[in-house]
Order: sequence, then C-alpha cells, then structure tokens
Amino acid sequence: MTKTEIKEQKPASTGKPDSETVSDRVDRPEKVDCEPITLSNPITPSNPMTLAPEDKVFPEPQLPSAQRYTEHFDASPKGPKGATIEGGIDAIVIGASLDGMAAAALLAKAGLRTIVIESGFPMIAAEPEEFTAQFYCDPGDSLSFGIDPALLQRIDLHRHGLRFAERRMETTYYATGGKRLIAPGDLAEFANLEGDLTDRDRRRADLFIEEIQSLSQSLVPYFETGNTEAQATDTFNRWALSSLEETLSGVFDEEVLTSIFATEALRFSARRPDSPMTSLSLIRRYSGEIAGLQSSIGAIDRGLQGLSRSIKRTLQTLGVDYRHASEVSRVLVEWDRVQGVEFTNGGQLRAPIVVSCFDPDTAFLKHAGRDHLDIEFVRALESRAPQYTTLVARIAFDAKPDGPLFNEDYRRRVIRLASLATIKKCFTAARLGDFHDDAPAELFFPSAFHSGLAPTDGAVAIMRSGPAPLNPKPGRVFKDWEADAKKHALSILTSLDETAAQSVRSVEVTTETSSDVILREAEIARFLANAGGLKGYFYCGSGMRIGSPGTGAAGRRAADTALQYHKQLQSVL
Amino acid sequence: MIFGLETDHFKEPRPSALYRPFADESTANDWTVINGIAAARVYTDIISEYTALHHGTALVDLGIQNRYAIHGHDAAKFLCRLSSTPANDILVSESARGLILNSEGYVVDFCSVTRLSKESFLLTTSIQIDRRLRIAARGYDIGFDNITDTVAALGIFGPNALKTAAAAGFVVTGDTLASHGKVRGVEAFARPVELGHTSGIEIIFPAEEALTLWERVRRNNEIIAAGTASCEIVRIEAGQARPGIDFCPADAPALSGKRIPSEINAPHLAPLNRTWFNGRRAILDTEPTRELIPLVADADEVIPGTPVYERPIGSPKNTANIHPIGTITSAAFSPRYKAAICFADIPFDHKRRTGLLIGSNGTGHFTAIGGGGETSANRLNEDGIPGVLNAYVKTRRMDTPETDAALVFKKSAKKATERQSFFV
Repeated sequence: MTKTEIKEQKPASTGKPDSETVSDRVDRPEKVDCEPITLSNPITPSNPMTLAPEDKVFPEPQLPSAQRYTEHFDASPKGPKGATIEGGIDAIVIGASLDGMAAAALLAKAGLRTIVIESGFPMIAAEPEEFTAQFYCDPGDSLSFGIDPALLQRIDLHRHGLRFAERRMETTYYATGGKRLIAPGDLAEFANLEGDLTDRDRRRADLFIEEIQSLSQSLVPYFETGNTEAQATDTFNRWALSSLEETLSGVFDEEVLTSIFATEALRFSARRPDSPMTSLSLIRRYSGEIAGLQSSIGAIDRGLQGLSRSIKRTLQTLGVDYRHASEVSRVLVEWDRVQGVEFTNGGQLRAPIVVSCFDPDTAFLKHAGRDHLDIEFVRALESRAPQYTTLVARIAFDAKPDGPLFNEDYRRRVIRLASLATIKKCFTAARLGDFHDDAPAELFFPSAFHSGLAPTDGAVAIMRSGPAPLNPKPGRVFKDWEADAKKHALSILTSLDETAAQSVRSVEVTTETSSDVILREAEIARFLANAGGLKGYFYCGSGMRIGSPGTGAAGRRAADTALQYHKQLQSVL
Repeated sequence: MIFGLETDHFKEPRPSALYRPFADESTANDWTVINGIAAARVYTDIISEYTALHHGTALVDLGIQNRYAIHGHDAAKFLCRLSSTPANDILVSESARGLILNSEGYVVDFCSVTRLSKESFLLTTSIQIDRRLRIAARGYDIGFDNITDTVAALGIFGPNALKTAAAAGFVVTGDTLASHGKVRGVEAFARPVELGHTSGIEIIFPAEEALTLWERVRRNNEIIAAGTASCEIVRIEAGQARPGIDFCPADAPALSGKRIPSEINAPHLAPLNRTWFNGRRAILDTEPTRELIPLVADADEVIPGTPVYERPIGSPKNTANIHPIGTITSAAFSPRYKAAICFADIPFDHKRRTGLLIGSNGTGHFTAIGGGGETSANRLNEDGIPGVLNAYVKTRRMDTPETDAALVFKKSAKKATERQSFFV
C-alpha cells in the first residue's frame, strides 16, 4: 500500500452533538477539526472518531462497549475536506437487504468485526406503510417461497422472533369457465387437490412436481460455486432446451393443470423480449423451502418486515455496527483485492472483506468500476435491460361481502389462471405497452393474518399480475399508465368476485421488476459467484438468487465464502 | 510479428495495398489467404527467402495483419484493460508487445501497441478483433478505426534492413523508437519490429501511395520478397506460437485447444505486475495443464498432427505399447538446424527427463520422413521405408528466444509479482 495523505478527525471543543440523530450508545466528541496523517498511523478502536450530525445508527439495543468502532466521516457536501479513513474493521456489508443482513450476522458470529452500511439501499421499512387512510400494507413480498434452512439453523432466527402466520398455505386456482381447484399447502400432497380431475392427471401432476423439485435441488451447486459442471445432467439439458409450452404439451389431459403450471412459472417471470418462457422458469417458483417443506408457500408474521426484524435482532445481539452513512461511491480496489469502500463525501472505511447486496449493475459497474472487471463480465451485465414487469396493486376493501373471495377462509392464496396461449398474448400486449384483460394474477390478503392492517370490517389485499409493461410511453400507446393499471387490477378483481370489487375503497399500484431468464442468470452467476475475480469482494444481491428473494441463501453463501477468504488471509499474514 | 490463420472462405480474397508490386515478384505462384487477404506462401524459392531474412534484406507484405487506430482520452486506460501491453507506461513512439486474453485467462491473440501521441495508439493484431473492441469500448471515452485496408504496411527484415530503409529515406532514430515524416511527399510512419529473432522495420503509409513508396524501397535489386512459408520457419525457430495453428484463439467457438499464456511460452507477455488487464485474475489462479514445446526432430519433414510419445526408458527400440501424449501443431524444415523443427503440444506433467519421440504407431500414415543422423532409432521400418509403419523419430528440445524469456520469467518475476499483489 502506498503512503497516502488522509485526514483524521480529532476531538475539539466547538459545536454541539445532535441529540436527535446521535445514538447514546456511542461515545462521541462534539465536533472535530482535521489534520493530515498517513496510513502508518492508523485509526484504532482506542482512538474513536465522531459521527457526523446527519449520520444515524440503529437505535436499539445498545452494543457492547468492546464493539465501538464508531469512527467515521464528516458528511459535508463540500467534498473530501474533513473526510476520514476508518480502519480496524474485518468486514463491511453494503446494503441492508435480507441477504446482506444474513451475511453480516454470519460474519459477526464467526468473530469478524462487521459493519453494515445501509445508505443508498432501498431498505425495508420499519413499519407498515399506510397506503390509504387507515389501511396499511407490509413492505415487500408478504408471501415467502422459502427461507434458507441452513441460515435458520445457524443464526436461529426463530429465537430472535421469526414467526409464521401460515406455514403451508393453500392455493385456490380460478380457471376460465368458473372451474375452481384448491391445492394443499404441502406439494407432496398435490395429487389430492380439490377439484374435478382424473386419477391419471393427479398421478402425472405428482410426478411432474417431483421432477421440478429434484431439478431445482441439482442447480444449487451451480449457484453456490459457479461450477458449470453441476448443471450438465440429462434432465437439465432437456428442460433447458425446451420451452415451457413444449414441456407441458401432452403431459396432462386437463387443460387446467397445464394452465396451473404455466401461471406458476410466471410468478417471477422473464423480463426481456428475447426471454422466452423456458421450462426452467418453474424452478424459480418451486425452489426454496418453508418449514422443512420444499416448494411450500408461507406467510411470515408481519411479512418480509417480520423476517427483516428478526435478522436485525440477531445483528444487535452479535454486536454488528449498523449505520446510515453517506452513500457508497465506490469499492476500493487495489490490484485485485478490495480494501474497503469510499463514500460520496470522500471518507473511507477500510476492510479486507466487502460484501455487497446491491443489484449487479450497481455492485460491479458502479461500485467496483468497469476498469477492474473482465470484458466478458461487463458485457453480460450490460445486456440485462428489463422490458417487462409485474404489476403490484394494493387494494383496500371497505367491507368483506359474501362472495367467492371472502365467503370462504381467505387465509389463502388465490390465482387467476391463464392458458399458455393467453400468456403469449400478455407478453405481446406488454411489449406494446398495454395490459391484457385476461392476464394471470395472484391475490393475497395480509389483513387475514395481521388484523392491524385494516379496520375491523375492512380488508387489505395485494395483487400481482404480469407480464405488465415496464415503461409507460406517454402519447404513444396510452397516456395514463397508473389509471390503466388501476383499471386493470379492478377488472381482474371483478372477474374473480364482483361483489368484492364493488366494496373496493382504493387501489394503489406499483411495479416489481421481474427476474431474468434462469439460464441468463446462470451465465451471470458464473462471474458473480467469485465476484468477477475481485479478491475480498463477495456478492449476494439479486443476481445470485435461484428463486424468490428473501430466502437469505445468497447471503449465507457469500458469508461462507468470505469466511474461507478470511481464514486464508489470516494464514498468510 | 505473428500472422493470423490461413482461411479458405467463400469470399474472394482481398488484395492488400501492396498486392500488385508483390505479385510481380512471384514466380512460384503459391498463394494463400490470411484474414481474408491474399498472401504469397513463396515468391521465388523458400531457401533464398529464408537466407535473405537471416543474412540480407527481405521485404514482407505486412498488410495481412490487422491494424486499429485507437484514439481518445481513455485510450491508454482502455488498451491496458484490453491487452497486457503496458500502454500507460510507454512513451510516444515506443512500442510494446502483449497478449489479449479473455476473462478465463485464455489467449485470444498476440498484439503490439505503438503510442503515436498522448491519446492515440496503433494496435496491431494477427486476427480480427473488431467485435471484442466494440464490446470492450463501452463506457470509455475512445474511438477506434480498423485501418487494415486503408494503409499499406511494408516490412524490411534482415541485418541490412536499417541501411536499406535509410537509403530509401526512412530514418529510424533508435532501436526502439518509431518515427514519422514525409518521403517523396508521402506521409509515412516507420517503427522497429521483429520477425522471430530477425529484426526489421515496418513502414506504414496510405494505401493509395503504395506504389510510390514501393518504388523507392525496391530500387535496391538485392532485396527479395519473402513469403509466409519462410516467415513460418523463422517463427518456429523463435519459439512463437501462432493462433489458430498452435492453439485455438479464445474467441473461437471451440471447446478445446484454448491455452493460457504459460502454456504457449508467453507468460512474460502477461506479467502480473503490469496494470490490471482482462483475464489477469484468471491466470493468477490457473495452473498450466498443457505445454507447447519447440523441438528439433531427427527428420527432414514432420507433418502437423503427428503423434508425440514419451520415450520409453531403456532401449530406444522398446517402443511396444507406448501411447501418444500429444501432437505436433506446426512444423517446417529449418536450414539453420538442417532438420525439421516443430511445436509439440503435450501435457504439462509429462516425464521431462525421458525425451520425446514422434512418429506413427502402426497407423500407416506418413508422419515423419527421412533425414536424420545414423543414431536415429527405428528411423527405418522393416522394409527400409522411412517414416512409415511403426517408425519413430527422436527429438530434442530447441532453445528459442521466446522459451528462454518464458523460463527466466517463470523462475523470478511471477513469484515476485504474486507475492507483491497479495500484500499490496
């Protein structure tokens, strides 16, 4: 490392501490002056710096005093003047996503001094959002398609408050023509689903699910290590080379079963025009595990926020420093190794391990910089422009009228099915910037599990429908994307339950970017698994997920790799 | 100076800018196609051309190489990322050799970079890399132009090359620095280059002025044109691998045959203490599994594709039940060694002390023919026919400048840079 002049903050007697933003768990002088020092005089835990007034720390509970690595930066917008370099840290986690926090927890548990930097990441809100007067919604996806069992076991999330409102959620499928089927929560029992089906179809459905589950298990090593040999099984090749239509063609006698699997494959649908619905799309839906059951769907108490809260508690117990600092401007790379992060105010946090859970573009192109990445990796990253999205509608009901939706136990997931032909039309419509009337949709009622989200007589529902157009083009196809999206959500609701649609008080719409085709993801994962070769940089963002977000598996994998690297560093030093 | 692969494709070969005057020199009429451009294998006879390259002066049409003009604020940074050349460190008029690697550390091509000004470079490659350049240029403030068809490139090689160039008006100021100026009113650029261990000068000028400057150089009647066949002998003598012949370029749609730098005797062209370049991390973590060895065979001719065997311990005639470990990738007869010289692609972990044999093992194909000394074991088969059924030919390793440089590098620089990069 070359000697570089840096600034150090020293305690001074001028100024006042900001009582609203400064946590009382940190000993902190009032204001600082700066003078140049060199790296030969590193900052140590015995020489703590101060928090800038606008910086925040996680408010509760207090950290053990031994973990007070609280030096940091003057977040002055004037630039590097007053920016400091902070050392004495083993690992930095950029972004407070579930995967990031999971990685931080595992690193801290292994004894590494870890800091989580939250800033710049779309953090899961601490409390439910009030989307219309008196109606609330948990942030993020309320349904959970899996939580990494190894993570659950190692940091014992149940002990820190993780609870399920429903572990094996049933799904009601509404097909065109009024046909209705109810699938049990345990997919091993799928053959026993309620509805008019032949025994032959039930047996075939059972075998079909078994094949998907086994295939998704076989793909795990690929994402664990980026090992391309792991995928080269006959089953994988057959599935990879077949479209969803080819795979489902002729399997079932009943069209409704084909529609069920086609619609389920859309849950994390492809997002580019050249991304056909391959058979591997089903893996996203059927990978993951809830309460020891692969492919089951669960509802976490308080949704994703509940899971997030339990991991936060784990972090606090382990003494992880959790910060709102300035936005990370870049990851410091010296030769092939990361040495920390730099903030927009010029300050630096130095650590040999950096874990990022941002999207691949931000984590690598923006933070690491294309100068440090291989040409092939950058090309793979840059060809990922999304074209489609999933429409997410939050719906407030004034009442729960008698109808198909509320007449029965509505602690379940409801799916409006679409045939393969209709799904194709939906993709075409989305490409042209329009919503298709018969688009498949998923409906779920968080207020059935958490009564505080809606008034006693009312209810809150979350509807997902896709593929939907991503970028509205005013003046070209339609002028008001939001109005059309609300209209679309209401039309879906009407088709499911007309009386329920009449008691809708308000609809709020937003979008959720869908995942890329799994084969493309796998190609990227080859680079992401070793962070493009940057030593000390570990990635657990969206590019490293096989299935749904919120499983924590990517974070666990990144932490494991980082720990191996830490061990290697220790042995060399 | 490495040429690209000879290709037979559907398009008519393009003439290089100097095709016409060079074609007038051809009496052998033996032509091939390199990078879509017509190139003569032999102009008069291969021995005369080879002798001129070593002891006189020979002209080589270098228009068959690909040239890119790269300019812009980020040009040096871009070239440092694209290739292992130290573009950041070279001064104006200096040149540097390097490799272009893919992200897995496999060699795409050899290249050389000459700095024309602070923000302008000339990149020379043996194969076309336009697509790679387009992809790599994203996010950089640079522009690049493929100038292969718009310039003429004349190589003057041999011990008298400098004198010949000076007589024609091209004065190169030093052994390493390029120069540019006007000769008979034509803007020209001259830089020192090497063809194997033969040094020379490359003169680059506008294609439309090709005949003007050709006349200027060709006034000396003792100069002869050298084709690719004689250049190939010089290349093998120098121990330089050729993409598409000795290894598969990394951008080619092939599953095998791709090589990392240390597998083709070129680790010194991608030293790890240079600035970061594409594929650097991969070669740091990759151990060689193959080795490309220059050999002198006890034969007059060796055919590429000939199997290579580990020499059995004990009697040299004890060749029963031996199995091939590799193949000959390129070969030529060397007047200097008075024997066939070749490259053998073999596993890295072969038994180094036993030596190598080449030949056929009952396949009935001609692989190595004639020549050699009286000590040649099994040189003749039972019927006294050389190089056929069950015939083996002994070989010995050839010391070349490239292998020597690789050896020195492996012993010292690599370990040092690895250690340095770990602790920096």
